[in-house]
Amino acid sequence: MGALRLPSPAGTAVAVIAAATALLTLQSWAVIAVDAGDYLNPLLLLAVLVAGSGLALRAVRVPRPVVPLGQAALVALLFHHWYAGDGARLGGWLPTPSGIEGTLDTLRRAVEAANQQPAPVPADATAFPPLMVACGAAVVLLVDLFACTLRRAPLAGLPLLAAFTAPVSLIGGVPWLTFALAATAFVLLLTAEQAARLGRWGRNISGPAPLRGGVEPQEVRLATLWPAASRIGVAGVGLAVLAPLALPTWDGFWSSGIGPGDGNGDGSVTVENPMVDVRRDLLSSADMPLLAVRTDDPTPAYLRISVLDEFDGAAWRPSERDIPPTNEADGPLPAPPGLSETTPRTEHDYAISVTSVFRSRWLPTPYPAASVRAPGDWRYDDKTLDVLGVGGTDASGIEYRAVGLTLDPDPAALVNAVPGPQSLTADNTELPDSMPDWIETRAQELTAEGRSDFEKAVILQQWFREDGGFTYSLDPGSGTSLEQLELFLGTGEGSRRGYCEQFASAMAMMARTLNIPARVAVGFLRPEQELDNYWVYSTRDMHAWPELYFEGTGWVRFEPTPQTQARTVPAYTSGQVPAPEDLAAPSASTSAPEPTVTRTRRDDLLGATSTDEEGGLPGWLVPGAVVLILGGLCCFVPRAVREAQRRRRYDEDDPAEVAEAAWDELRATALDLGVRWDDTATLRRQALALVPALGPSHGPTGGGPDETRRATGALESLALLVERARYSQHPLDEAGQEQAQEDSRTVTEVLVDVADSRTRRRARWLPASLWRGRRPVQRRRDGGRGTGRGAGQVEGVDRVSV
Amino acid sequence: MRTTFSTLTTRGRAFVVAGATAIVSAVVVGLDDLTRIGALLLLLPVLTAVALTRGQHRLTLTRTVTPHRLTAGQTATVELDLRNEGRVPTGLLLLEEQVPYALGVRARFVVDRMGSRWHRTVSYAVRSDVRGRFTLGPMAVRVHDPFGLVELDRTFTSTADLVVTPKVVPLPAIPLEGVWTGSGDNRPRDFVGGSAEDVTVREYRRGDDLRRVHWRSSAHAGELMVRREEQPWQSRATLFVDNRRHAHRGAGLGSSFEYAVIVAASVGLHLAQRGFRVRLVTAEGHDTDHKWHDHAAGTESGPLLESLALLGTVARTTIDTSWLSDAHQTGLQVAVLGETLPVDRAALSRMRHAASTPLAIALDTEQWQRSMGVVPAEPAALGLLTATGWRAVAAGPQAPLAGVWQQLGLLSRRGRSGASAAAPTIGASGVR
Repeated sequence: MGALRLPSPAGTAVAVIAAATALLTLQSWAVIAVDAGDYLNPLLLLAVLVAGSGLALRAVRVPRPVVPLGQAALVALLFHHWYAGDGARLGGWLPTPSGIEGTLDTLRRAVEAANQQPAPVPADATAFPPLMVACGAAVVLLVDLFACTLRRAPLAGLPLLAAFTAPVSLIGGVPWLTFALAATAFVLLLTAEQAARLGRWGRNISGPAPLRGGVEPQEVRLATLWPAASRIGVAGVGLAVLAPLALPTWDGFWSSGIGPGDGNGDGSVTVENPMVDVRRDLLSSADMPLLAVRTDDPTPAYLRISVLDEFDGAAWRPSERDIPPTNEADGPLPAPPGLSETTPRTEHDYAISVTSVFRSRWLPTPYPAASVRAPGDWRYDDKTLDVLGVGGTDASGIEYRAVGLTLDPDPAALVNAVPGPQSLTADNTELPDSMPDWIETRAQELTAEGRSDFEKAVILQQWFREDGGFTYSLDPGSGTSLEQLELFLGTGEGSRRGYCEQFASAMAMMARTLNIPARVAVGFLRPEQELDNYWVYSTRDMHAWPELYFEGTGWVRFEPTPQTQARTVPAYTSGQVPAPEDLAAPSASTSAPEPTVTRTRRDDLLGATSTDEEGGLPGWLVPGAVVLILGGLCCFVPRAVREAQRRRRYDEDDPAEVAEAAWDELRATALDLGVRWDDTATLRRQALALVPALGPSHGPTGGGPDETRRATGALESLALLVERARYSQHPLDEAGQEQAQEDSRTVTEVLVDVADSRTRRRARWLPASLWRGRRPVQRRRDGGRGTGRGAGQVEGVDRVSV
Repeated sequence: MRTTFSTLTTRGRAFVVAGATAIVSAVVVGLDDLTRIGALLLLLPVLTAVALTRGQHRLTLTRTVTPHRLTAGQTATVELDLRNEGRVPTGLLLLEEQVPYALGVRARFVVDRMGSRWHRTVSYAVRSDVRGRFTLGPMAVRVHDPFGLVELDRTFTSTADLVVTPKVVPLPAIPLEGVWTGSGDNRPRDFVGGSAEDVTVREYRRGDDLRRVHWRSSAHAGELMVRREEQPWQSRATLFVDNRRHAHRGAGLGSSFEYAVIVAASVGLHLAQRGFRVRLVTAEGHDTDHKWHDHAAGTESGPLLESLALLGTVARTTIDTSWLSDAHQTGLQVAVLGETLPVDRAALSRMRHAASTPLAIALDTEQWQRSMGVVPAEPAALGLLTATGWRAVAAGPQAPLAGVWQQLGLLSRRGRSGASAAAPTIGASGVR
């Protein structure tokens, strides 16, 4: 402990700016929960507390390590006050064992809530905010520790980066304005820290000398640094905000997590994984009504929200949708893929109104639907017939109409279905490389008796519902990763328990191992009837089920979830499955027990798709080539300009300017080669300064001593000629002019020869003289002044160019 | 581009590397926000470096040191006149003057804002307890950006020399026989037998002897001119300092050699003030004082002190007396001696015989080696000196120099040298 010392203005500025930077960065967390104020407001108070206590502790000069400990203790006390719950005494300001236990409990519950709730966390998850407050407090403490206590502002970027990437990885994006504000604050923090650092260097002598007895200020003020810093900082932040436009990311190759679709094309849309909502809604205490449907369908049932048609081992998720703006969901939809005209169907009208709590970016629609008319920017996807909201459109509170088709496929048609189009089959039978073989083997063992793909699918459904000994339970956590599905399908501890999510995705995965195109649909299972023709779907009705593709009928729904939850199976799967008409051909290959056979087939399919893609030139190739060619041409521009300049200088007509032009060319060459050139020096000094660049006068390397000596002579002669041209009464005669040009050529040649190849290349392609600007004019007319300047150099004055 | 990169500080390089990494991973993973962060990290140092290297400005520096020569323990002021002759710079300038360790801390200045015609004079003080010649400067200029990402290093070339002369003790005036005894060298002499070219003339003043009128010059000048028939001959003194390493004890500022230098400086200055022309001679022989016969130079003590400031010990064993071969007598001879050996007898004897007045201060070097407070025994050198005819006194580290000098004066007045007379007096002066 030492004497009290008021914190320096620079130190105070650093502390305040560090807190502000942390807060602005934490604003990016606003997207994590619906009601972000629950944790952002406490964090504001925490940041003020941390900055203030840090300043106070440093002012009383406690040892360095104590400062962060003191700050952390204060934060912990505040936590105790807020979250101790019943065990608190004196409003929680006095830590008690029971209070500490209560605080830890609150945090534990928050972690639990975070694990259950997908982002964005809904407003009713009251247990969640304490976790965010704790994480935010850690960020604020670390930023203050690095920037103020340790005086290493750049290190403060690490916790800030961590805080910033959290919402980026959870939600997939943060508004650019949030980034810009946080980045500007960080730049300001760097500047403030630099000001504080430089203030310790020495006396600040920028201002006028102090009066006698006065003391020069020691500190460097932030205000004087900020103009320069802001120019660079604002330019940097602005360019950084625009950087994603210049650096397109490769979404096509590396599909990343939950809805990473980005706005790089006009039509594409950010997608989110609706699967994670299912469990949350099934678990939720209140059975809230989500949709009210008025329909002429006597038994409305499955209402689809979205389709997960990609399985990468980590989860089932929606594939990238590339939806052109013309696909407005305001009328008839295209025909469902694979559905033939002959399949029997009935049409039903749906008028659906969504309650305000259901914030979905996907529109619940019957599948297949013949038409959808929805207000707002809703678009349909050609392949899946999903309806998505564009640009943040969500479904809460809207009303829309749809026409659904209820199909009644003939099992015989399904049994005799031919394989679908190759591109569709290839996409929808894709499995991650890490698939263990035993799942495929198990699927083949189970379905060995199946004579057709459809029959196999029915067998699988039956296995999941009854034969496999599966139980319906919400206990396993959410998730459809390969590990979870392995556990689900296995026989060990905790296996064969799950809910619709696991049933649906496991069946779809097994179907894919059998080369049946399969995907997982998410939506509502069945409504409850409120009135005649008036039905209500609520949170508990959320459901997931697999869809398998059979040519002629298209995507066909199955129901592997046991009876306790899904009471019935689709009608076409309930009866006896007929034998295929042509038994020999399809089943011989599909039901072959050896895995190798099916592998081969899959490889063929992949091969086929890749040849398919080679059909035409990729769309990006032509503009890419144009850009390349234009870029290549641009590379020639500086060189061409410089060469034209050189020719012009040596073709100078005006006799008064010939020597000057020759000297200009010499200067430009020197600048190109990176030789120092002082425009304010006298001619002779300039010439003298150039001599070392002409190579070693006595040495084995370079252009040889002879060359160097010749060039040095030429340089001397040229300097004298230019002097004469500038200052002499009589301008140069023709011989003198020629001599000047000749000298200039000699010197520049040797200059170039002596330079190393790298410098020479740079001089040729990126001549620095082009942007060093023109030489200040010193012509005959003001020659007198010119000499005066050269001679008037004060003895003992030292110069440095910085 | 490469030079731009080389201006980056470690922090700047870390930013570039982190930014590039972030961009690459952002492109691979497909996160736009990470791209932004990476772009910011990459752009900041690059933009800063470009902005900083473009801001060409010229600084001029004029350095004035007052006083140019300084006695050890005194303070000199260095004045720096800084001027910006170029454009407004974009960065901050950190100026650091290279100051030798012995002179104090390096002077450091910050310039955070600077107009295009900025001009400022700053000063800092230097002080040294060690004699010698020191170099101030050159001044290093470091250009910083507002973020600490880029740093440009430049250096002015000029330096200033500062000579710190040894400490000097004022000495009391003592009768110096050399001045009064008629050894010719020390008395103004008539100008006799000079050729016409040697004649110097001045205007006629009332009271001048008419026989002295120089008619030819009077005709030339149009008024009466008289011959200056006397020419001032200055009194000469030779100061000998024994700077052989083995003759001294102790190290650094507390060594007997430093004390010898202080004694020599004090005596030299004292003699110069009394009108003597003093030359310095060391064990290596004639010093560089070529102005011995230069009448134009006054009794300037500067060169002498400067020589003493730079004087160091030498590793020779004998005293070079070749300078004695001069035809002239040395006049007053003051020797500051350390430990003497029997070998030196011949040299001391020669020196004594060349001088009209031989005075010697023999340092009791044993006392610099022993612990303080031991009663000094008579140094062995004293015996040798008296035997060869010097008027010598001994001096220890505690003895006030003024007292020693007065003691020497007493010996001179008595006209004889003698250790027996000197020893008790020194003891008394040691007690003060």
